Amino acid sequence: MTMLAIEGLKVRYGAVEALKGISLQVGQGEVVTLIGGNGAGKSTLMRAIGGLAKVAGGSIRFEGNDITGIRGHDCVRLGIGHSPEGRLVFGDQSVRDNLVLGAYARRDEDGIASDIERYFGVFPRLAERQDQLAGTLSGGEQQMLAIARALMARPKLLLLDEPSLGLAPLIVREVFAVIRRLREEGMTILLVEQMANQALAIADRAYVIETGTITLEGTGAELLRDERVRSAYLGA
Amino acid sequence: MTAFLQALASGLALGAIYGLIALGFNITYATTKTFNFGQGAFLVPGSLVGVSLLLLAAGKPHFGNLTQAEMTMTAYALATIASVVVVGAIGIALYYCAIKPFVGAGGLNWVLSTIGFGIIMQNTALAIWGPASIAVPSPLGSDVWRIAGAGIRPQEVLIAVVAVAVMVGLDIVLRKTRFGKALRAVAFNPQAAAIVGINVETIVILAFVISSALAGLAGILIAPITTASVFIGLGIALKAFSAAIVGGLTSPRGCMLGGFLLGIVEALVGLWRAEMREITIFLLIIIVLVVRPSGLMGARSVEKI
Amino acid sequence: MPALAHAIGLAVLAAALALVPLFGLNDFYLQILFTIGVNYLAAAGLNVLVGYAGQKSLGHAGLFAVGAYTAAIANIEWGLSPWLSLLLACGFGAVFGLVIAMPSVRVSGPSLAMVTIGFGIVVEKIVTEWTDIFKGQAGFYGISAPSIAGVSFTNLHWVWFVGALCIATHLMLRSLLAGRYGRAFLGVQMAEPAAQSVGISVVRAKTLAFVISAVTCALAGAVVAQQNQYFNSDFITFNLSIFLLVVVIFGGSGSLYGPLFGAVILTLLDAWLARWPALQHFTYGALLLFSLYLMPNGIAGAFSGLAARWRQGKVVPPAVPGHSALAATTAAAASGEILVVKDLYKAYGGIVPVRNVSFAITAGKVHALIGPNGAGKTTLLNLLSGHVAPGSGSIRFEGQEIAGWPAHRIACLGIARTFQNLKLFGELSALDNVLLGAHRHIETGFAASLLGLPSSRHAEATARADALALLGDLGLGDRAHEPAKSLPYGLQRRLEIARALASKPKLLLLDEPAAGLNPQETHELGEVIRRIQQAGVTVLLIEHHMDLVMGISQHVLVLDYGALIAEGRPEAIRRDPKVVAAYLGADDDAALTGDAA
Repeated sequence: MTMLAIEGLKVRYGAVEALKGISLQVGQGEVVTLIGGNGAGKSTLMRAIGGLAKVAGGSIRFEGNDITGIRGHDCVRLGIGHSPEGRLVFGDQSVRDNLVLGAYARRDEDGIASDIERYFGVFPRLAERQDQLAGTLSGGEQQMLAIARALMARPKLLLLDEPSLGLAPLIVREVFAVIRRLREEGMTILLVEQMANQALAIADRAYVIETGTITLEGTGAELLRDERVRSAYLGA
Repeated sequence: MTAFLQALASGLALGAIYGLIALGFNITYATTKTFNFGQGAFLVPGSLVGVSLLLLAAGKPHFGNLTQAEMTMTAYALATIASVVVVGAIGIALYYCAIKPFVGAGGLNWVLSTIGFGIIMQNTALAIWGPASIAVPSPLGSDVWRIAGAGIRPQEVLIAVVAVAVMVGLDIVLRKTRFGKALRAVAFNPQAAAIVGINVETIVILAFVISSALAGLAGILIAPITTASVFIGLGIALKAFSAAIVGGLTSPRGCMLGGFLLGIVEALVGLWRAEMREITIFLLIIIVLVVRPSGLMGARSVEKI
Repeated sequence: MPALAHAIGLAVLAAALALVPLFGLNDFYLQILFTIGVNYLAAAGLNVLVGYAGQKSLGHAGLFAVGAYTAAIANIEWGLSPWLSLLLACGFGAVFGLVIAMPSVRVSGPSLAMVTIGFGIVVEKIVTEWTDIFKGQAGFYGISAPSIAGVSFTNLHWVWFVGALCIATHLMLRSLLAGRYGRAFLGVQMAEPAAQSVGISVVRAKTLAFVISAVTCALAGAVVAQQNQYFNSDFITFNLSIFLLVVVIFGGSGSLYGPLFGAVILTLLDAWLARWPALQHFTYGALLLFSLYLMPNGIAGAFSGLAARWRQGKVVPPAVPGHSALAATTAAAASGEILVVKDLYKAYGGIVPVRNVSFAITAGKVHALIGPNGAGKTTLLNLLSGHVAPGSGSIRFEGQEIAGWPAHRIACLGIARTFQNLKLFGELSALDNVLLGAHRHIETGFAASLLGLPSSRHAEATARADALALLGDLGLGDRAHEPAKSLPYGLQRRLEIARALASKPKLLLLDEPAAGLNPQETHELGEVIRRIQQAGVTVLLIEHHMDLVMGISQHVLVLDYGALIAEGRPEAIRRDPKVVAAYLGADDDAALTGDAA
């Protein structure tokens, strides 16, 4: 079953057309990766799906419903969790409060409390630092927190935007271990990454995006072997 | 010494008023990077609405003088609630008229539009209440309390108690409640707040309601000291700006601290030479801005290029 | 406005003033004309501050007071002549303008509003409460008015005198604002970092604008005190500060004629509404609240639509063909290492975007700085251009240590830059953007510019010709008079390069010049960079388009995680396993998991 279906999506920032008609699908339980160099439009696409960027054309359908142009705070209620580029954890609030805020759209106090404990189990480092201000965490810990915060909304689809950004290789590996675990638990994930090798290794299917257009698509394994992926980054 | 204690007491009371208003500036500034430069005009209905309602309840015209007997603690409490509700509601109008069109656009147009809104409000009040002032009795009476030889007005004590209670209450609300966490989340990063499902505009409107209600509260608290009139607001609100700048616009506790600091400095300098008060406060602002541009407790901001 | 229409307009105005006696106006109407003139004087200077330099002031009543009280005290207490008092008032105005500028230019946003309000309030309190010096509400009586040939000014004379002052002020400001000073003010308002990058000192520009506004405001105050022959503290209120600002904003801030429209309309409105004082203030409130979003550019803005239509018919002078302006952009090419960076370090809290980076830039070559997102490239560039101060380390440019210098001083040494997120002066024409780039090479003194002396006009004309040639050379010749923000995106990117080149740099820093460009535009950009190199300019560019990087650069630096992980020739860099890993992620990870089915 298709969970997310995007057709001819266009987004512009002033005079720049950041997305020039993107189409892609994410099926239930799939991990789909979107790779591409800096400035290719990856995060813009994520922001459009999450209701944070104004759509100039095309459509976004989620579970069959048209959600084009929906506002960001309503997206969460429909079941789209978002771990944004740059993580954007609430730096002046505690780790625990960040998770509480992640469940802002929910009202089941007991469920929230048990979910917090659950993710403290998944991310033991967050449990150790639950009373610390999120701004004092390391980059990797902030990334874990951003993912956990997005999961607190009990999303059906998880948007993961550049989780490896600015992280040391060892930490990147930890982050990908978490993504792999989520995948095994059946979470549907749209993953945007610069680290093509890791991202493709984990993906069911993948798209390559260059200057606002999708230039390649295939299974993760296919693209992993494709010379053109490499040239999209380092030039022909 | 007694003069010093007396000045200290009235400085603390005045400082509590500045702190309340400054706290309101902090709440809207944190969420929108704007605040109401016309806040002085919000003190006016704050003091007059409640008093007029009491007058009407006593069967008098809305503009007149209340007797001490009519000003019971219950009456004052009811008047306070009425003022806070009315002025809080005006905050919604302020948001839609003067803030929403300019927020996020950069520049200082919001400064001018909020001043314009304030001028309109003040002149509306002038049309309703006229230019004369109403003497408002304190619910605690006018007899001075003797503490360590110094004569302290009971209303000053009431102001300090209520203001501190409200400040502590708000501090707890901002730190502990779901709303407070959401408000701080919006202040930290509106996009991230939207990502977790917070309706940013609702929070912002509530911020303006709280900020306006605090000004209304300040208006009714100060009325027994200054009398209630259309012209009381400007000077007080400007001091509250100064307090927020000195303490740090981005820090709620800084704003409260700045309020008390300014109130005490003003009262003590006034003890020495009354005409030096404004100059001292202005010099204080300049010094703080030069040494710590973000205020005593404010967070330093990094501009991205 | 074209010179001919301007001259005719002035002649008509002067004739109308001369003919005022024929209309048989009574003192009431003469007073209104006088007030229009005074309000124009104050607003004309304030417009330089608000509309050009972009600094809102809510305390100019204080400067009005400085002028009025100087005129009063100089005449009554010190026995100076009215003419001398008037001059002194301007002088004191300038001094107080400097005083208020000192804290003001260092803060922004609400703090700026607070400082100016504070200044206004303090002056108000001083003149009200220090009665032994300023006489408070009682005020100064018998301030003498100037006289010419023994004849004291009548109300008619005052209208003429103020009219003459207005015309003189207008002519001087018109000359000043059309030249490099006016452009610098606008540049500072529209994009401070960009203004710094072409060598403009933001602090100096804002201070100058404060002083100009202070002088005209003080002059207005002095004239009012002298005409009135009486002045007391009631004149100086927060409302006066607001009124002056409304005159500027309602009339149209940033337009030369805005203050004129504002002064005429608001003075008349004021006189008409004087019968209903409540309504008067109500109106100002409404004007402040609504004119800002109904008419963001004021009355003058509404008129400028017409002017723009007229301008479209104007013939744009074509760029001189065959003359390569690009080749003339630079001084003699240096050789050897032009820039040497050693152990450069910058941290923001726990994040360290640049950690102990060392490298050298060879004169005459194109260098590329590459690295994955978030590697610290832009921060490194900001450190080199002075837009961000380094934590530690050394940057030597042509042997001179420049680490920690402010951006405008570094720009004046010959380091120009562009910005990742375009920082053009959007409302200004492409030509003005390039002229701002050439700011440090247009050598015109303040006085020459103010008085419109031939030397300043000549320098301006030469700079225009050079700028047009440069625009023509970069294929922007036919768009020279369009506002920068209305250009297509690709041309905006190119205009930023043109602006940087206009400063005749030795080293050009380009931050992602190809971002958002289509393949054709990217290809053209490569050609432009090649030509820049041929003209002898050393280039350092941050770029993600690897084809471009590999095609045009002779030396590549790779930054990852804040550290320099590799450098060398482009072919070698492409094969470097560390670089490949930084971009694509470690290969072993893919091999380890291998579950991509």
